[in-house]
Amino acid sequence: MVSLLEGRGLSLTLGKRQVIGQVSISLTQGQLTGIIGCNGAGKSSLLSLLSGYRQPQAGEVLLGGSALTQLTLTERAKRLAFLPQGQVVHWPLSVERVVALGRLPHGSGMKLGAEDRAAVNQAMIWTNVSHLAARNVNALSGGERGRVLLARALATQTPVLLADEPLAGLDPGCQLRLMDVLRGLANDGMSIALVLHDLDLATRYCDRLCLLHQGRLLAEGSPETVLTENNLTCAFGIKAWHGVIDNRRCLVPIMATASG
Amino acid sequence: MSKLVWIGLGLLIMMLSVVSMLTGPVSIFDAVADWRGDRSQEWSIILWEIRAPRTVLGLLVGAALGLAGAAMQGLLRNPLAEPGLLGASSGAALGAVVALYSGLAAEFYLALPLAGFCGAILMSVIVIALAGLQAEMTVIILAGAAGSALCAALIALVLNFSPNPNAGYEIMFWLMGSLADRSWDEVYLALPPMAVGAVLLLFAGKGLLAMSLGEETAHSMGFSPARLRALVLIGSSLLVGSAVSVAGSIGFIGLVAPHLMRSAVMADPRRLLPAAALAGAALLLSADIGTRLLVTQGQELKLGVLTALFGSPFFFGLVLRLRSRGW
Repeated sequence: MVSLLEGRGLSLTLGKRQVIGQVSISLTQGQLTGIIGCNGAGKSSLLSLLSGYRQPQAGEVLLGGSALTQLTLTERAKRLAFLPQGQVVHWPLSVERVVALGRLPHGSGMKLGAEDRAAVNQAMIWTNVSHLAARNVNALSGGERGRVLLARALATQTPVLLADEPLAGLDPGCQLRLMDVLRGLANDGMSIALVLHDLDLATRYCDRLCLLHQGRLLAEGSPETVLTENNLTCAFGIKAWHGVIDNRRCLVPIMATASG
Repeated sequence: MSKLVWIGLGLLIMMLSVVSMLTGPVSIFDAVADWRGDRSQEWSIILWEIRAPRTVLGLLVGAALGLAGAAMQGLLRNPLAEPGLLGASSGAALGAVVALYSGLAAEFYLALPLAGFCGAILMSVIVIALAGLQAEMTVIILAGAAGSALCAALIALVLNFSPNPNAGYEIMFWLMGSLADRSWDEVYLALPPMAVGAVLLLFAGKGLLAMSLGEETAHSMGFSPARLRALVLIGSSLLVGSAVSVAGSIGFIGLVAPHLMRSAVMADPRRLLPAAALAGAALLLSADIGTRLLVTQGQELKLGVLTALFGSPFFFGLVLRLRSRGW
């Protein structure tokens, strides 16, 4: 399988604290990868390194086989979309305008071409925000704004998508519908990495999981191999129920243990 | 909607320019009546050597302050950012004050604006070098505040040491800002750095639009935050430095012009740049016409005083509006 984005031996120290230590990760074409771990495990920092926003103190990131640092910012932006954590839009722009910002890497400014418009409309349909197109994005609810920002990242139409907690603040229906969309995009060949807190959704939708603990990769592989009783206790301090519903594996956290 | 805004601003500026050419202690109607008479040369001097450069300079200074204000607000993503935040305007004021105090201003005509411009650039270089372009914006703002405070202290020191009260008055009046008695020389002096500054800021437009979603997102969309900071900080310093050096300290235009135009351009920081420049030009020229109409004790009201008098109620109004419905 083709690796579209690869991090090799990444380490990052912020201040005096090492937040990422010797983490290697590979995002392959057509796979949906979940990055999981408790608060402060280093998930957002890892995405920040993979997106190229932060420079690792050790290791390197390869995008399509080329070192990220060898590519211009525009070349990167055409191949890798990144949705950071938080739902900040600093000005009262319209929803459609925010989604259209996703076309900036393709050189689109004020006027959108037919291809740009199609990409923007498609992204708004995927995230179910078409009906909000003319609204002020800052007047929306947190969940709606989150969907608009995900639409912005999807409108870029890059082969790789990194999204930091794209499901935060969404109702269960929206979460499932968005995961269906992302699963479909991965099936069509996109390589997607998501930071997730919902272990059930991670189990059901992701091909691979990367479990981070204290800045290090504790486990990596299929959901069954990663979400073991030991790993769940060590990384999250929880016990969980595993089962199968409608032929799909599912996981429900049932109790917190003393450690974790 | 958008086209109407541009046409409206264009028409307003043309109308204000005509009014500016007509306004002054000497009535234009006398000039028209006497256009072939004995005094025709005098009228020509009044119109083309006094009012025309003053009008052009008013438009340039207003546009520079409006454009720099919109760019700084876009970069900082804060509607309360003002163009002099980096210390350029206080640096220009200090440069001019030193020229006045040392007597250099009396030695040759353009020493005052030149010293002002050097002061602005020097202070901006110090602030940018102190903070570094990789630093967070709060660090840059802090460096700008420190630089401005130092300039204010040094200006006060110069005032303290001024040899006679007249020198002190001269400095104080210059600081209040004015476009009176300016010639084409000031226009030629200010135009090149303003043009360079404007081009730099207009290049930054797309990046400022991307910056609406935060630095990390802008970076992922192909815009380097450090490069964007360099463009905006250098561009604004050139604009503000040249504006202050020829017209003195004029507040509120850089704050009010972007505010007035933000909803007309649907908050798009990129389209706000030219809109705020045009609005700034119109605002400053209106204020300058106002100073010519409000003559007190034989002297024009100072431009900076008038912009502050009208600018501060605008902010009171803004506070009341924000209380009820946000930005």
